[in-house]
Amino acid sequence: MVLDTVLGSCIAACIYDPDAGVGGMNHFMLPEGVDPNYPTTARYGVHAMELLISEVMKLGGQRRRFQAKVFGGGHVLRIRESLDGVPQRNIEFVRRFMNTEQIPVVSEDLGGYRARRVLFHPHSGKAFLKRLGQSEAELTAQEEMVYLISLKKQKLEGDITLF
Amino acid sequence: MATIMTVDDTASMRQMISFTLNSAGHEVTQASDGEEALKHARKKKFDLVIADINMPNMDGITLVKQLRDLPEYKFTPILMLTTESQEAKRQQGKSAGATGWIVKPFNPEQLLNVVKKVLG
Repeated sequence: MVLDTVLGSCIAACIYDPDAGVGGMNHFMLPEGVDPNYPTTARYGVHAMELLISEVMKLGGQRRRFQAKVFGGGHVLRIRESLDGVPQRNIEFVRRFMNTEQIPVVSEDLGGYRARRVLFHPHSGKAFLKRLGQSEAELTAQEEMVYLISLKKQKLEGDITLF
Repeated sequence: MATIMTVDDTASMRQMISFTLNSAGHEVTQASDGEEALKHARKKKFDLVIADINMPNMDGITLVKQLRDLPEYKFTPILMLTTESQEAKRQQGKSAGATGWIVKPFNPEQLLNVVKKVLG
């Protein structure tokens, strides 16, 4: 099995356990500004990471053996402001998260001005990266803009049951 | 103000939960899995425990069962805060003795409301 995604300003984090031969990949962005003094401002990213981590654990991965590869955060429109600083805060978030969780980042390709296509093979932990051309970058940027707007509208909360 | 223990294997999640509870004046102790939580609980009586489900060493369901076996935790509110939304899991939590089930993503305001409710 190979996981496949296209990234503009979004981040894809790949997490795998090399001993168990299991892993996974997510794809996310942070719609709001993040202030490290207010940890809850990063909750979109933490949630995306937690979903991935718990799925890899369910597949038999051991958290202490996890390794990570992170990609994306490109300034795909060549104008930083156009995406409201999204690429940079996505990059800062994912680095801070891996550092806090003590998950070693063994490979990364972040920032720059190009869109990327990432293929991840979860069993071996191998990742393949291809930089995309301008027309694909524009298309990706448009899609991410729609995604960003939908995230900002979305209410970020799950349901509650009291027994 | 209450003493609350938050149990989650993701440090970033513990930070968010602690930050939120601290902002409402609660005193928070953190544990990274069920085993560590149980150790804390044996030494000190907390007013409320908020625990994740999927954790290494000891998962959240096992933790609830073990806590309910301790006389001083028979009636302590225990909230599960988890990415698991399946009904079957929820039922497991209920029969283990959990007080409530909150599905992540984490919403600070919502959490504070439930905490207020279960602390009575």
